Amino acid sequence: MATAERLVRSWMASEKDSEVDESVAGISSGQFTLLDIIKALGEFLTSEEDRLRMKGVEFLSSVLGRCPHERLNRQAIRVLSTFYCSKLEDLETIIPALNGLSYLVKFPNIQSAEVKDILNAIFANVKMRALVQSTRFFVFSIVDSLITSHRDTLKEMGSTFLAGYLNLAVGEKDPRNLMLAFAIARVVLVEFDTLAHIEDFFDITFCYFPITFRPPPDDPYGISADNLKQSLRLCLSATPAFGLLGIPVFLEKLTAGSPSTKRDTLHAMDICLPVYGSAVSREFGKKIWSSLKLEIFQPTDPDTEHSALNTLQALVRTMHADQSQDAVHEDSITGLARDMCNECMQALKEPEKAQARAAIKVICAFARANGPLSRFAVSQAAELLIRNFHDPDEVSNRASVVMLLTELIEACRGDATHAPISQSSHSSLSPLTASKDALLGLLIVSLKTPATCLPALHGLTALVRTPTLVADDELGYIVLEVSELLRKEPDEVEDVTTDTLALLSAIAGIAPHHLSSQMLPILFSFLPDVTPSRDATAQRAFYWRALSSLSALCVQPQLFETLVVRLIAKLDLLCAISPTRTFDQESTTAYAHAILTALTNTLDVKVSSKDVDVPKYAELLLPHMFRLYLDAALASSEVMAVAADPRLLQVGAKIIRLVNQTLNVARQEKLVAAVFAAYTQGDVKLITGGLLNSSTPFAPLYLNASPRQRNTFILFSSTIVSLRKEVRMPVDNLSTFLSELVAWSDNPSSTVFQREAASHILASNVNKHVDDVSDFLSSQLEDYSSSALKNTSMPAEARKNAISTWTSVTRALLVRSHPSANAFIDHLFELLDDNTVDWDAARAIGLLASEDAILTKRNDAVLKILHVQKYFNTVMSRLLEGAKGTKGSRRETAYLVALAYLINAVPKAVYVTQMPSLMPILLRGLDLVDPSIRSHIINTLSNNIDITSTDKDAVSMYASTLVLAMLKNCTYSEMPDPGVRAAALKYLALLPGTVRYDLLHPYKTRVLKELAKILDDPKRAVRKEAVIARTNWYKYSG
Amino acid sequence: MDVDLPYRLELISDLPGHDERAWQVAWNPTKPLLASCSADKSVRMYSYRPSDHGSKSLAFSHMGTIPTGHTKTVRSIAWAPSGKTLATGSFDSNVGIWEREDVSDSEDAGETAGDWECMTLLEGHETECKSVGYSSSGTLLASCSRDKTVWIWEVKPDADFECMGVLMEHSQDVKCVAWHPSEEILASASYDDTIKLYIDDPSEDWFCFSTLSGHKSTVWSLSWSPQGSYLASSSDDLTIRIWKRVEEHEWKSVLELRGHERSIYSISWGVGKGASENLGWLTTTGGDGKINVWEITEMQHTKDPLSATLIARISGAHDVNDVNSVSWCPRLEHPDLLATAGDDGSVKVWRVVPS
Amino acid sequence: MNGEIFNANPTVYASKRSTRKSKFEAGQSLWIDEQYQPELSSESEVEPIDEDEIFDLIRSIADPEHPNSLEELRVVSAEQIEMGDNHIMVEFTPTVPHCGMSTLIGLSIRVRLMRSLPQRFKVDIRVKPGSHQSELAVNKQLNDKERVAAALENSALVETLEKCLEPIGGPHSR
Repeated sequence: MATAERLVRSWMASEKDSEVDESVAGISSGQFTLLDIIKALGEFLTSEEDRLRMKGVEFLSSVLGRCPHERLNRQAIRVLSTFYCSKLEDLETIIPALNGLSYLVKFPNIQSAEVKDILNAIFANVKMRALVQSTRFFVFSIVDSLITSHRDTLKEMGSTFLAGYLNLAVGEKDPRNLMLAFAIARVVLVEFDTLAHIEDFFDITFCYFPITFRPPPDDPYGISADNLKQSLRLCLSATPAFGLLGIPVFLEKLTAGSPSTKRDTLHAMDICLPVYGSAVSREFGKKIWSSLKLEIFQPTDPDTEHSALNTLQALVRTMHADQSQDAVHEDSITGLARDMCNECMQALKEPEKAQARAAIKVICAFARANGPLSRFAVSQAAELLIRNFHDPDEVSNRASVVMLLTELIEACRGDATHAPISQSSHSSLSPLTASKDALLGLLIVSLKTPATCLPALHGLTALVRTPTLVADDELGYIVLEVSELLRKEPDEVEDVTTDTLALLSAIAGIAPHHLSSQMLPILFSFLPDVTPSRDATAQRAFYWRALSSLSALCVQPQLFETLVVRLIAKLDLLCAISPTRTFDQESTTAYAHAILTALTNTLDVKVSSKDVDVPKYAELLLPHMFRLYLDAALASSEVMAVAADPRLLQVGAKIIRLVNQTLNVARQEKLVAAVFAAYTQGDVKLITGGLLNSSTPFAPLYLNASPRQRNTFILFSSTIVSLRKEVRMPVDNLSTFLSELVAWSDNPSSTVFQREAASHILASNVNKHVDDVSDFLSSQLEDYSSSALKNTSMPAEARKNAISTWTSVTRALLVRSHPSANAFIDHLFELLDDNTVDWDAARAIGLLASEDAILTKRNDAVLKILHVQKYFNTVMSRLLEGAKGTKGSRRETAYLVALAYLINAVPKAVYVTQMPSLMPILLRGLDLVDPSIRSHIINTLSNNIDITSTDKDAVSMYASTLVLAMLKNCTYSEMPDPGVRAAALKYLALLPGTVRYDLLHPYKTRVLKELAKILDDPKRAVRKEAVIARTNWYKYSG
Repeated sequence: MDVDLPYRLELISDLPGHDERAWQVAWNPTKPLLASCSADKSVRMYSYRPSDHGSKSLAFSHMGTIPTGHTKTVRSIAWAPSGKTLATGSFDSNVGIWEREDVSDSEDAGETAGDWECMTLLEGHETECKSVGYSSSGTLLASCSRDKTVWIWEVKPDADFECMGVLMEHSQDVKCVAWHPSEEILASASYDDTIKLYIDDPSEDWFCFSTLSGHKSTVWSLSWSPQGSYLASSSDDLTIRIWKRVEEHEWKSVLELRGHERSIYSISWGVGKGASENLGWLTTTGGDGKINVWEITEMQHTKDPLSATLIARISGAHDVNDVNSVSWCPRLEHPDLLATAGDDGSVKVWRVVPS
Repeated sequence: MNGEIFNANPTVYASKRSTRKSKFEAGQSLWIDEQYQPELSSESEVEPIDEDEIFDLIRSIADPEHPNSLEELRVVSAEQIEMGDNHIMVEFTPTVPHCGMSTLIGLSIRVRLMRSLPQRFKVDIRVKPGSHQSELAVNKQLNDKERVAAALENSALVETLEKCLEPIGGPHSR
């Protein structure tokens, strides 16, 4: 007791929060009760002084706010509620009192009697307009809590509550309070009997529609316009009773409003119409239709048009909602629906006109609405269009007709958002079933004339994709007809190959047998056994068309197998070793290359889509590959061996890699064992599946091995790089093996092609088995670094090669964030002061950050996230440091080069923050001779134009430099490389959009003048950019 | 340049400077001054003097630019005979009158003189003003516009102007006005393919006493022969016509010349340097970038009263650009000097020299 | 633009794909794979401006009164472009003979070409003979450089023009 008083007094004096906590603690510990506090407050609560009374209640409320719920018994609660209610009459205490009540109503054992008292007191005494937002918020949260926990009591109160609440809610403006108000209104409208007050509720909800609220920049409650819109929509759609009142409002907003208002209204209607019900929808149907029609037939913007179509769908759904789904007979279609259809049919009579397109959109909306109307509308439209197609006077419009029909088929097929009609409850049959035969016939006919061919293909594709619509034999028929198109010479018509293939692939998915029986034979027959001669461009284009068609179609397992068999056979013919130069080697190689590429493309697709049938090609395909290549490699250099060509080996390597990636550990071990047997012991039996038996020994690893044998190294490498980490290399000591590799690739006789293959093996192994190669790494750092990397007595070329070897090892460590990477990087940095290789070292440093083609997930490399960022941060600061105070020196150039490549290699996010400090350096870089560096820098600048431009000073500081530099770099006489010219122009094109006019307008005339000259650039691509840039500068104005 | 011709055009000076297309050049009749106007809304002034080396050649130098304050292209400029006043006609539909503060009458109108000031702005046209011109006495100023009208202003003391008449004879834009070299006769050329001639009826107002038809398309430019007995016109129909005064108030087409592949935007008739019995030199230019110079001679006892001989020609005078204006230097000491203005924004000065 | 619509329901055609051949198709290389293609492409080779390129410039211009490109309405077509050396004649076909938009369309073509082609080209623009009731008037206006220059100093008109010119380059996409 005493303590309670002490606390009260000291609080009244100090208002220290600690007193509140102490009191709460007292109550929780049972020292005293809340009632004691009230008693202790007595004198203040009755004091003449307003301030004291207020502070008294304030204290009580804050204590109550933190008081544990179980500490208040019913009686205490009754006392408190009567107490607070009485305080509501006192203007001085109303605020803390409401605050207190907002806590009190949350207590579990508050009784419905108190609830009623509290509400009545509030209704009687609270004048919302007189209160500030925060206080009004108390009121709303009180009602809100009561709605949640005492809904029935409130229902009992009936009109008293409804009228009372309406009176509170009317005229509220604050978004935070409105969020509560809307939530309350929603519940009330759904659950309470509001009929008597419906108009008032209409007023306190619809008056906010549409929401135009824009949240202030630093809104503490983070209420977005969308939050409000959504919860308001829930109110608008809360009761059918709003129908008669609401729809006129919508219609009015539709005619008057801005595009955004229109869309907002349309969305609201989508939700509301179904609630308002069919009766109302029918009543207003005509009006709604006529305003929707406007948005669809004279569209202002695509979005609004699209929303309008959705609403139309909602409308027709609702209009027929009450009709039993199986009442499909036409007489169940309301008059309005008929009129709508008829209007569309009128428009469809001129299929080539713009209005017809709008009309078909409407019909499609009906189709998706799935009511009885959909069958009616669809069949009507289909019949009309089909009739029109066959009308001799309308032949010129057939293309349009087919296009419209295609849209219709698409709509009936349904898509991701709409369940296909065929699966909808009322019927298992597509509304097109009736007209299917006619459609099919019409589309097939259309294939025959150029004007209608393309649309027909799209139509057929849609038809085929419609579940259960087209029968199997019909699919065969389609394939037969379409195959004609692939027979045609490409230039005969506008090229429709891609669309033809899309259709055939669709069929391949459902009925592969039709393709293997009808399509593939034709396509294979297009592949000549003998290479077309050099000047036979047409044939070449033709066989490539056949090949790409094949590779597009043969993804499905059964078809792919055929593809592999047939293509290998073809390759064997082409690559047969021939002692005499009887044919043109270059074009034969190109032909073989094309075949392999086609195979690779399909394989690539299958691997990425994780097709299960790929692994078996380790046996069905790889041995053939190896035989093909090794055979050629073993052939003497006198004879002609097409498959010895590095360009062919490149593709072959890719095929091996792709297949190997899909193998499990066991099978990979088998494969790698076989490969090693061949490459290290010269035993080629395993790897070629016994297909190869040659007298010449196969020993590519010998330093004096023939170039042809050395070239096949890429196959060895591609097998190894795609191995899983778990697979151990079949060698006694990996370090030694790698060192031998380095020696092999440093051999002066080795080519770039061969060195690359070797470096891939290095990288892959260092990355996956770093712990087994520590000896190798240390030998690199200790010996190789000095013997090769920095050995100035060595020829420059050799050192450059050493750098690339070095880089691949470094990257292997880098991507797995291995500590020893830094030691390697340091050596590269030291080279930046070396006059012979500084540039190469710089490029290497930059490129280390770039994506690696070999160390990838697919190849099961060990990759640590953020390794790029880590690398960038360390290196960048080093480079910035190093570049300081080296203006114009050779050293600066090296650092610039490194920077340029580095930034170009990493994603924007990585260096964004550094941009300000980078700008000046990059600008200097624009004067470097090397075009690739310039284009790197220009790209970087383009990617960051927004940053540089938001920072006003930065731009005004660099504006002139930038503009002039770009003008220079896009001029033919100044910059021979078209890539750079185009990049510079792209940059110039960006400026007007991003930089404030007042900063750049002094340059406008000059830029326009200069660009006028660029318009005559010899390169089409450059001119294109120039046009865009110049147009943008013309429009550039204050 | 065609070598077989007796004369050739020698480039004396290339004067770039306008940011946009230059529309017209005008020689000052009394001072060594050349003015040009442009879509960049400015007028540029060039002075010239015998260059230190070689008495014959001249040195041109930019001596100032008038920003004018016209809100649109300055399409046309004209000097008053006194050489003291310059009129500008602009697409902003106004005509500006410019004088130099503290004018020094010294022959050398050099840098000593002060800035050009706008004395008055003549408002009246509803749309773009396309041409302006002073009468030989300098007491009258004419202007024309796309609004189909020709306005005649009386020049009063202290840059005061009074409108003497608004002539609404043409059915389309009026492209050009030109005053007779001695009498108060005004000629106007139009998009309606016709040329109209006006005089002042002492009792009545200005009126059109003759319409010259014959061109098949827009008539772009007009120039009177030095003695005033002939009028030359150039047109979009790719022809040049010469009209002879056969009666006090009657003019007849006597000659039709061809020599351009695109619209002939400008024509100028100078005294020339040839034999005294000829009627002087006529020069034309246009969208094909060519400059042609013809010698015009009167023929005795032949059916054609006139003959014109092409004596000099140059193609690509302003590189690939259209040439919009050509004008002979009116000063007696330079009868062989002419200036051109082109879409490249530059002004060029040429001398016709024996080849 | 004023409310009057000259053709409320025009015929809409499909817009063709741009059909430039790859080096391989054009027979300049045996290899599909660019990396093996002869390098003549890069520095030396000159690609002169041709009809296709000019058509690519104007095909995407938007019609003043419809959400379609001039190509889709067959107002312009590759066949209606003629090229001599440094001379270009572009012919266009109004959707209806009384189309009051013709001058505006012609102007937008001229402006696009003015901004996109080297100075050396002299451009003539005319409506397809017999396709417009006041054919001559339209042609004369479109080829009067003084009129065009003045029009381009009329800010209201320029604003409308810029709208028509919005999508630059590339085939018009709906």
